[in-house]
Amino acid sequence: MYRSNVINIDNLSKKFKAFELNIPSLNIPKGFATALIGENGAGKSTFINILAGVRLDYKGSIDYFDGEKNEQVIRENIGYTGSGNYFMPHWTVSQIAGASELLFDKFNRSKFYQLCGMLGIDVNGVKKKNKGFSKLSDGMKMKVILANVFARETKMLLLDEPASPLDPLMRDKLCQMLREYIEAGNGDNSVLFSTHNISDMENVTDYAVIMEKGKVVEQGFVEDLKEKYILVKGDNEDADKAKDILFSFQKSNYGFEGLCLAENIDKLAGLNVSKEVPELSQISIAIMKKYTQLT
Amino acid sequence: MKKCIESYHMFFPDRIFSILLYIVYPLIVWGILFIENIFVNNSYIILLTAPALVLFIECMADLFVFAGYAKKDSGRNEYLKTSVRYMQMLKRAFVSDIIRRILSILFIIFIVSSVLKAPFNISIFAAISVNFFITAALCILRFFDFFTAYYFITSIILLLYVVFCIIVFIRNLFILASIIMAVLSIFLILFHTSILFKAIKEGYYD
Repeated sequence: MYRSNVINIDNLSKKFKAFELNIPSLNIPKGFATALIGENGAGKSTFINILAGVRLDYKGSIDYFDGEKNEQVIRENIGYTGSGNYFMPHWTVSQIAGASELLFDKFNRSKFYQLCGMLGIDVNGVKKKNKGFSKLSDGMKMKVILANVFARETKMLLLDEPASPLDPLMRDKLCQMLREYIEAGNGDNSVLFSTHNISDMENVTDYAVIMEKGKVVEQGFVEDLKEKYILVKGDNEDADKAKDILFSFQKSNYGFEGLCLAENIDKLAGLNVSKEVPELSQISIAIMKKYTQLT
Repeated sequence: MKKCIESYHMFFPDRIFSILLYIVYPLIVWGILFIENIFVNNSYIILLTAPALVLFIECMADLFVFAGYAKKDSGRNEYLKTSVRYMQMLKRAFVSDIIRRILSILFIIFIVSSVLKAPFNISIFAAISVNFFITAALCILRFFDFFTAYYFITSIILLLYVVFCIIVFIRNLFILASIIMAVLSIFLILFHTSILFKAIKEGYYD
């Protein structure tokens, strides 16, 4: 099945003093939600900032929307949420709407207010009190940012840790909004988000990119990854034999469990083990652990 | 025009600031000069107090609008940076700021001049020279984003301005000084704007 990409990356690199982001090749599939997973300092935010145009100090090439070259078209079609100093600290909800109208063509003010209301932001209260963005709680800040990004007509969302400051209910709401966004695009809308809350965001994730120390160490559709890795559980008497075969290994008083590459599963024949389909979070953690140990 | 004003107001901290800048600030200057007029019987001194007050208020007001913008990446523009219109918006805001300041200076000084029936050359000198000194001050001030720096630098510039005015007054160089400062103001504005945009562009890089 042919799948086109919303982003094609070729030899992307960005050097810091003690860290280097280095992605020789990466394609983000079009029409899907892609999760960018990795531990703190893996380079997720740097990567998203580069894609969003917040930083331009990188080497390599990034191809957006099937080779679109017009910078205005590219930026208009990207909705970005950041985690740092996103809006001007003094901006109120109405100032954010005003600024967005000046900055982007396809910003819908009434949709923004509607989304603010839906996400539990008391627009009138905030307006009346002239409450600046910096005075809002982290969760409220993210809600305003999300309302703003969803109030624009875009083809791709680049979300840096959108779920972190949100409560579980809001995370669920966010997943629903992302799903609706992708469905509304009929295959044209894509999402790339970084997350530490893999379990919470798993039901919206179609494709996963796992990063470690500035490099992409694993990527693929979640269903493919769940076929590539098999969760194996067994008794401690088989632990030593299984340890060398398994991709990841964890032992407790009650037995062991770990991930086994599907290509190696036959090597476990004769051992008393059970096989299960792993969760994305289990795959991600196993991969992160593996590469952290290696480096 | 509307977009210029809207862009400019995006950098204002709140509506109260707009009221202070557009309404209260001229009233304060006129009020102080009115009180000064009761005690000081020299219209030249009163006329030159006006630009000094304007200089101080304009410089301190900038702390709430464009403070730190000449620093490499002021760190508060992540959202703005994602739009290709960011530079355009800033350009509009800076131009609006320059125009607003010039209009404020002219409005305040010429009202004072007409009340005091001051000579035209001195009024012109007061307006042009204060605009030059404010622009010069902003060239330095916008590298900082905290009150102490603004207050300290503004005070020094204010002192230099007073000394400069005294020299011009003693030597009666109002016309010559006005011409030189008008030309220098244009260069200074262009120079300052180029520094600001260079700093903002550098914000996209490490």
